[in-house]
Amino acid sequence: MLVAIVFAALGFQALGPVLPPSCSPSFQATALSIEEALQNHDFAKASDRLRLLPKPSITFSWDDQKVPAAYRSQFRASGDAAMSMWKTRVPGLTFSQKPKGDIRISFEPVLALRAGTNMPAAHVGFWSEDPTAPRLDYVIGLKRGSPLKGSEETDIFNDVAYCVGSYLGISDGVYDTYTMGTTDLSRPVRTAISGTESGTVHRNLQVVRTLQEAVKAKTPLIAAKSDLFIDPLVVDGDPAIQGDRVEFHVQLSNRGNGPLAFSMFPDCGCTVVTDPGVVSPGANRVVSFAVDTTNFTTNTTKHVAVYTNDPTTPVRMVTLNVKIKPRFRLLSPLGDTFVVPNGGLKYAIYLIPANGTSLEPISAKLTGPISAKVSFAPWQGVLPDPELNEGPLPRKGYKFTLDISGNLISGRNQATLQIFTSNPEFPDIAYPINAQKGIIALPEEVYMGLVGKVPKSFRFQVSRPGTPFKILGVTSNSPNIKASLVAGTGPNTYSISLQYDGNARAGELMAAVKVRTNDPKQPIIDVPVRAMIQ
Amino acid sequence: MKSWAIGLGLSGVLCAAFSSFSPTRPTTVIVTGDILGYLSPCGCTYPMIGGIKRQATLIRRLSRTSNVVLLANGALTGGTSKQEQMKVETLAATFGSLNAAAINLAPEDAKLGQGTLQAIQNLSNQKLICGSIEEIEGLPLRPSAPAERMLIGGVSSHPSNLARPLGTRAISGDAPISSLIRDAKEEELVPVLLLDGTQNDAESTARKFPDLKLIVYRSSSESPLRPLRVGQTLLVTPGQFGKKVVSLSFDGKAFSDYQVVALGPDLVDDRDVSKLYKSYLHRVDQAGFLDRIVRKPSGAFAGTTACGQCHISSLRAWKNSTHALALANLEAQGHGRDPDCVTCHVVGLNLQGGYRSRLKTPDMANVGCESCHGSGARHSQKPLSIKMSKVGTVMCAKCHNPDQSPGFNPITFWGRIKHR
Repeated sequence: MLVAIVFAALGFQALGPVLPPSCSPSFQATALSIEEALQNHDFAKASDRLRLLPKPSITFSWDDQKVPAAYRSQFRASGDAAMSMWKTRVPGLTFSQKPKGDIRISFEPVLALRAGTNMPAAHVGFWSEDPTAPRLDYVIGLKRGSPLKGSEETDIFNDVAYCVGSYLGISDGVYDTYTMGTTDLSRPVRTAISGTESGTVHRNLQVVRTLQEAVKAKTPLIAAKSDLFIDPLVVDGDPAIQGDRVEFHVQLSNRGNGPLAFSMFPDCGCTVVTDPGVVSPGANRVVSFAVDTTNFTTNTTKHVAVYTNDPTTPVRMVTLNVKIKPRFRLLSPLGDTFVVPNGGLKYAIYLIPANGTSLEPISAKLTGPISAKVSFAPWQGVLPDPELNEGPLPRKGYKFTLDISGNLISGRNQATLQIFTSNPEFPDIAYPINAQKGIIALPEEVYMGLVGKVPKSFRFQVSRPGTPFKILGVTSNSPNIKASLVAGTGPNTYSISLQYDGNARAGELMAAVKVRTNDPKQPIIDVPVRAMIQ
Repeated sequence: MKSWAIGLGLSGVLCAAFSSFSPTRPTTVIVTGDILGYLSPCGCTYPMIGGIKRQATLIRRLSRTSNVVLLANGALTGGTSKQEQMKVETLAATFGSLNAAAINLAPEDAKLGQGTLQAIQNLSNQKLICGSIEEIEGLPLRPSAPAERMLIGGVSSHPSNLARPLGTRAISGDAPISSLIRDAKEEELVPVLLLDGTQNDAESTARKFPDLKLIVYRSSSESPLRPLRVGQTLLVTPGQFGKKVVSLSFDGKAFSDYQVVALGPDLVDDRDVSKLYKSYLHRVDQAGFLDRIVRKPSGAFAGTTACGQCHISSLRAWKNSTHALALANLEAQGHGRDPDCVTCHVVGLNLQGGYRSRLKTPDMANVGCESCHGSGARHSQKPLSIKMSKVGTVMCAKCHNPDQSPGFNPITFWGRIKHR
């Protein structure tokens, strides 16, 4: 401001304050009209128009005559909660109810159709320059959506929060989660004020103070508008391997005569954006985005919202297409769950690093209740990768062989193959395996969840893939659970039915079902049963 | 101008404005999926979003004014461990409690095996569907499920990924989708497809089968802000980790009112699903997963107290930080023995010399000096000759990653733990 005053004293005119990114077209128009008045040395007009700018001490009137009496107190409480949220996020804001305020909030049963849609507007704001009228006359529909349904307390909260944001000069946002991400639909959850939104209010109020000082000091200012052009709006990144940082660049051009202020907001914490900045009139600036691909193994798309002070489109979206391949693959033709025959099994896992990745194994071991000798050697051959939908392709890497003994305990055994490598980024790689032997219950424990006082039925299977067996009987140790064999099932897989009678006492129910088989090595299979009784 | 806005305002009786007085209840479709084991929001920076307790609250809230059809597009979890199995069971019980209309089978779920799929069927009231594999002995699995005026089918773009782990045969090609559309026509229902496939797969399916009114696809990206359309077919995705759901209105013929709803702290935890979640945590405690965690070789740890004997000001800064309360905060939420969470709340959980329990390794409870700086027993014995390596903000990102710690900023957060 001091610079502007010095410039004025020297006979120069300074540019008006740089309007913040994501200020609303209405706020811009008002600020620019004051600057134009100052530019024309029409200080009286500039002074008069100052009253059209938002003030931190907000007065409002609340007209709920048309709200059915039963809803009035709830809706008012929602409105108060929305204002309270603003006070918390922007310290210094105050709200006071007056018969004639800066904002008038009223309700109508249904609003007219929103232009270009077949849906009624949920809320609509009317700006007035008449000193006897409220600056913002904001009408909320008591019905919304198509088909119409009644507005809820959450809708009133969101609408009032949006109304305050509009009054304070924030443009509509693109993210529905946040206050200025407006919609005509009924939204089931409350919105929150984003950092960008609260920041815009702080900067708008700073602009208001600067203009007030300029008017008071009768400082001529030049009114100027920015005009943004982004090239391109959709960017395809270079192919990357998981863990790479993929850089994207777009050019912001300012085709207006005022400075273009911008800030950016990505839709993912994995995306880093250029810090906020200003592009001079007629100038260009290349801005960068970087996507950290550590948590992605396949292609993904991210977006960045570019907030500017361009009065026509204050928010624009840039789309980033990220092509990612995993850093390495662990492939096993048998899958990670397999059956071990009596004579044991040689189980193979292939470690295939991505091209250009050095991933040399130093050692490997199996942790868990499976006894196996682990060996590995360089390997080259043809393998499919079904998870990535790749058919048999030539691949190069290391083959790990687990020589699993046939003395495995019957049932499902889980272990983890740990591979230690020379790569400091991937010093160890874990691959869980499940080895099944003999007869097993599927699932191993029957979890019935939350059960009320009504009978309920459940099923589980008892299975030995490839080798038939017989079930001789099924019993339950709980008086509330009856277990029986489902007729017509077998000989490799049997279904067991559990009938809960609805009479157990509230609390945790722990029971067991015993399945008797004709296998002398596994004469009884115990299956725990667990439930939360309400 | 104002009369434009309120043109319809005075028509009708005011009370009729409220849905509770409406003669017919509208239908709301809620789309979830790719939860990948994220049962509860995790993290240290506000606002954490997601979680099944909040999702349940949203659905019950919507159920007050509309008929809710809950669609889950599979991938309940991402692993095959017993803990993952428990998560799947908890999710299936949640979907059962919320009367979900259909749960599509995804390869991640199929990998857990037939037993887990049986558990999903038990707990979800037989709502698991799949049209892309042949019948499995002993496991009832329908290709589609009706709900309201819809017939919801489940199909995979790569059915062999479902068939292989279940030891059955894949049904490839267009047959499952053709029969979904045929069945829907016969029963005068609107065909809806839950697709285990990408956006490209969904687009090509929509072009091939324009009779489909809605396709739900899978994506590691956020749900688009505006819905995608191919002809008359709406394409939607809930994104990943159960952080958001997609909400749509259904009038018996078509879908509209696309919204992406973030499950934020505004949604208080649902009572019934909180009980299920508590039961899950109880099972995790009892299973002793923390004692069976796979550990990597490591150096010996000194413990935070030993570090503080020399680094006095650093110890003071640590004591005043939330790092010093990291495990206590976790325990207060019932996750004190949950390996998914404990790893970021103690020193070296997955290392041989690291945290075991509060009793065995009290000095390694909470996020301590060696969480970031590495094992320091050798340095504590010979502090002048053996130096600790310097660490940067990259260490923060190991726990404060975008999924667990949304909004984390290493520069501002460093101010809270600043030490020399």
